[in-house]
Amino acid sequence: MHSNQPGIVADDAELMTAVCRQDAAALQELYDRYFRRAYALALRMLGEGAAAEDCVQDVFLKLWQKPQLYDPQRGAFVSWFLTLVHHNSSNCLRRVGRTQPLDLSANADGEGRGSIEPADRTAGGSSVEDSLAQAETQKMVRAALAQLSAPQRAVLELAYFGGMSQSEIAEHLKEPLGTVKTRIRTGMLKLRTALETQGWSKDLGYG
Amino acid sequence: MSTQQEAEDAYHDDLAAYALGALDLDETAAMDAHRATCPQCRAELRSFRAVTVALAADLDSVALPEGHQRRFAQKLRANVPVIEPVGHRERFAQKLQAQAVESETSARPPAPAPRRWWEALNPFAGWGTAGALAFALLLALWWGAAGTSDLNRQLTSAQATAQVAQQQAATIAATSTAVVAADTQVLAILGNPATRSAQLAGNLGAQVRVWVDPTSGQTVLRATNLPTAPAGRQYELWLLRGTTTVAVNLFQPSPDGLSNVVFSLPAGAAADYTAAALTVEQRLETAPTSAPIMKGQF
Repeated sequence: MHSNQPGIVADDAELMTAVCRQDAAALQELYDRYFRRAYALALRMLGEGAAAEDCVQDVFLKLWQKPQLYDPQRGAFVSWFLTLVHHNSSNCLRRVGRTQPLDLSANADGEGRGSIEPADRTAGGSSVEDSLAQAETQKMVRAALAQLSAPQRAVLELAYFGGMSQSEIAEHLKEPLGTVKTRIRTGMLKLRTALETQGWSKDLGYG
Repeated sequence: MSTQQEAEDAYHDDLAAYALGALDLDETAAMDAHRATCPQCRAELRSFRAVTVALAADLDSVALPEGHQRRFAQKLRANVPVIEPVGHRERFAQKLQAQAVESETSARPPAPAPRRWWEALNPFAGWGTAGALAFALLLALWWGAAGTSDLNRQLTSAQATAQVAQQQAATIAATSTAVVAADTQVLAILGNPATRSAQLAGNLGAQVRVWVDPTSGQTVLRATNLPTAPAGRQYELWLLRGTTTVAVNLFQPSPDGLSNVVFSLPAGAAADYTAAALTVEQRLETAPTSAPIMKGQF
């Protein structure tokens, strides 16, 4: 995906402009483009398909009803959108709790994410080009993750996919809060450097 | 190192956790406010959020749930908002006015005082006490519930409420705060079913909408293509309750004309507004010093 980041980002902003005019075809295009990624994130956090689908679709509904909340001057649509999905999933976790225990073991070596189902490239109609680009992205992200220490990966995992706050992580790991904070910050800095070295654009963020 | 510098460093150190959604709620709220005022932190946050996009992109290889598009289409249909017919409020006001004229001709003052600009947003403004009495009487006749003594009590109560509102109006400007909106904060405000909105109209070629959440007292202003105010001046947002103007706060759009601002009003100060308006002011005023450049009704 990252090979054509600039084009994707520009197209997303144009689609959101169309969504502001209540253009349903633009919403459909964004849905087709990002449901898979958002669903994967929500599923990883919630561990249950129906809840993940509801969570993502709620965000799409909000996007349709209040498209003006997205400010293209502040950054990429994908980042804004995934932040909303993450926030919604975290709220859902706080409300109903996790339905499956968070599995960290598969990620300890940075080689894979074992709690995610094997790739099904045909389901959902993802194109061959998309799949190839996605494989390239995954390879890059995993290479970057491999540069982190296991404790750094663990706290990032608990924070982002576990929906836990730093203090909750400290309690969960029985580690001092300061240690957790340091691991999160140094882990993110190291990951950012590793990704940017490989060409991942900071313009994909939303600030 | 100064205390302020230490505080800014602490925010800076927490940005990675903020991007991951790993701050506690109170820390998140503090960071929301800080981020709005710190361009360096916004740039840093953007780079950390690009990292979270990469983390999420690593998860794409999942099978999608069968029928999800059909279910989304159903939800979309079920969530189609009820569209208010254009001009219904104005037509209702005209009907009320026509009935009131018939019933209070003897009580109406012969030459009403000139109306101030914000009164043009209120169909009942400028009627004076006799007009208000006639309107209240009309309501009483319609509802058939209020006797004369009740009506007097209601009018006295309404006048007392108006005085309190005017006192509030003078103090709100000094106590309200304006920050660039955080997405989660804006979503919470707009997600409240009680939130009301007004589309402001004017000749600037700008799109400005104001949402007021009467529960939290928070007000969101969203502007697109709003030109920068003349040198030495800023926009001031006003809320109107009847003939009472309430100063919310000053703001300046970003150079590209985009603004997404949350104003926090004191508790209880956000209910029952009938309209919103923008003026251009040199400083925070408690009453408008110029005609509005944009205005609209809730």
